[in-house]
Amino acid sequence: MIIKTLNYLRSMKFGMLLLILILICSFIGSIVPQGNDAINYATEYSQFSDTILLLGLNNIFKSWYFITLLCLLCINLVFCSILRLKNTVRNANQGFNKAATLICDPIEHKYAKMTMKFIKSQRFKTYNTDSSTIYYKNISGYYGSFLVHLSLLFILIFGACSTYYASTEDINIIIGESATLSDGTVITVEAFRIEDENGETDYESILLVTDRHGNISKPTAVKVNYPFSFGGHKYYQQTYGLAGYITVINNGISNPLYMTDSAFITADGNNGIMYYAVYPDYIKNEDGRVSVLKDHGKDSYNPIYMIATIEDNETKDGMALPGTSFKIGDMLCTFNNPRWYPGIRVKTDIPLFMGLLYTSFALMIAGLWLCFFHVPVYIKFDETGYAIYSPKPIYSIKTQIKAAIETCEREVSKC
Amino acid sequence: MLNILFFSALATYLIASIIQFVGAAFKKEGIKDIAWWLSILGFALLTVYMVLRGIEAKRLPMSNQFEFATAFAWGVGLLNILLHLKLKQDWESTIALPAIFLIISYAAFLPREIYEIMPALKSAWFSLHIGSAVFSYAAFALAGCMGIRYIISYKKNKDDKQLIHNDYLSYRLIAFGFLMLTVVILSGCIWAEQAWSVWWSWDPKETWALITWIIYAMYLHQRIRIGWQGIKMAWFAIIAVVCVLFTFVGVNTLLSGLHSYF
Repeated sequence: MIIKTLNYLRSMKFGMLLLILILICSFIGSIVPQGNDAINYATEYSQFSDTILLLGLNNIFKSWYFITLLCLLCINLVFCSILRLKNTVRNANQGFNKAATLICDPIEHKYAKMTMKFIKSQRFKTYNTDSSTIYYKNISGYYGSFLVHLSLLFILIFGACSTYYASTEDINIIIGESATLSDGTVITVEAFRIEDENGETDYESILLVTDRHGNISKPTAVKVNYPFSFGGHKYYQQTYGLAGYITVINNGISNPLYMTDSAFITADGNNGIMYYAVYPDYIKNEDGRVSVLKDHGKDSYNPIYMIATIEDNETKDGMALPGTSFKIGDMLCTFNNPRWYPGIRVKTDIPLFMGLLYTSFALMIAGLWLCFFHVPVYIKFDETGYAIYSPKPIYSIKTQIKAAIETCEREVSKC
Repeated sequence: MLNILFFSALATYLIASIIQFVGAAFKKEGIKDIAWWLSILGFALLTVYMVLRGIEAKRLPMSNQFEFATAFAWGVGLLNILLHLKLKQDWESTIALPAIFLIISYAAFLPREIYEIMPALKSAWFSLHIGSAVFSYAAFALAGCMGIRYIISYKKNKDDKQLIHNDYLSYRLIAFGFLMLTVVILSGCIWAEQAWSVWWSWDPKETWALITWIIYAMYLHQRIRIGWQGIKMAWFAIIAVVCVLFTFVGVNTLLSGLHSYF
């Protein structure tokens, strides 16, 4: 029973079954939106929403059954790659024996020498036995399949490890301000721009990082696709936005507020200013109404605040330009020029896993190359003729040899 | 100028397809030769178009759906020419030329304006990721064409010696496409880690690339380990190419995700 189970676990049939199940899960995961709130599924899929939530189709790639499938695939890969290594080595060693025992197709002696010359020109090596000569090449091709399966196993393992041990944190930092991470690392944004020197869109933050040991980095540019590693963290240019900058004076005390999200600014809990958002530009329509713009042109930057004043249970929606002040009770709010902020993603991971993962990637490419484009070929020549052996389909080399023999025949007949 | 080149390539491939079909139907070598030279001309026009577009855009012209479709057609055209030169036969062109024409026709319906490339695409990995995708898709598409050709020939004559050649070539194309698709996926992982901090995020494009990879992995296993070949594999190659086309067109059109800009 145990042997039967082990045999099934290492069989290609089981591997194929797992691939089909992973394929089905992937298909469902691409059709059903992933990670949304339950209410969204109820709205969008009405009668199917219960089934979606019950089967965990809303988070299929994190579901227990999908992870189980991946684990089973790992087990299958362990069996079919590592445990088959012995067979692979044996097959590679037995290639010569198999070639030596082949029954040869007849070839006229006068053509044989010319054909052998052609084979040598194709970078074949020679192995002589008592009764025959075996030309061979690409013996390393035997290990292609092993490398592919092993690298896939490594990719799954190291990929899972790098995902599990990595943590990310997104923080918005106003230009000129700093943020402190939980481990004491301090990030300061010295500058931020959304256009490069040629006027093309390219988000770039200049960061100054002080790690938890007090080491200070040089001011370094962080751009999309160009993260910056320092002090055990990796910093990514993730997003950007415009933050409202409001000075609040209450009881003679002045507080600067940087607003990246909507909030109610109040001193007594009832009266105050509701801050919604700040926009980089606006236009005045023909009827005098103002329309805000989410993006601003290269030459136009006219920020405007969307707010509401709430006083004595009366709410008045409105807009405010920088420089405008509102007095609500004893509180004075002044809207200043808003400030750009970059959204920085801080990732902490174990570099070893990433290194191993990328090595596995390289191993897989090398394995596939060996598997399909470095096919082992043996060509046996003896007194009776020649025979070709390969563990894989080798139609092209057979055609080449036949063509070479035909060429030899033609050349001999010309002579 | 660019439009003239593009539509000239489209028209050339249309004429080449018709002439090739007529030549193949009536077994006239002279007519097929004309189709061959027209396919070279079509490829040259497409190449010049892409070079000029690249110069004008100051980047690799493969950064949106139109440009990728054009590059895809170019890749199929290139592989078709290489196969023709290697095989010294034209039987793959009868299906491949109309396929190239259809891909360019699809591109013709897409917006052709040259836009500024978005920051996420400004990466050293871009050329490797997209370039290998072009060759991968092209190889799979051509293998699909071989599958169609195989089925047609098989129905005419089951003992046609050309069938073995056709079948083997389809397998080799799929092996090449599979290697290229693996490069696409793995280079995409490295690029995603640099751009978004995660190397895999189950974005629909990623997921469908994986689905395509699994399907072709199954093809190769069935072929190498189980020994399937012939008509079964021809059908497999055709069905699999539908998945490739969905990954290319369907995902961008029907599903939204991190690759939506593409």
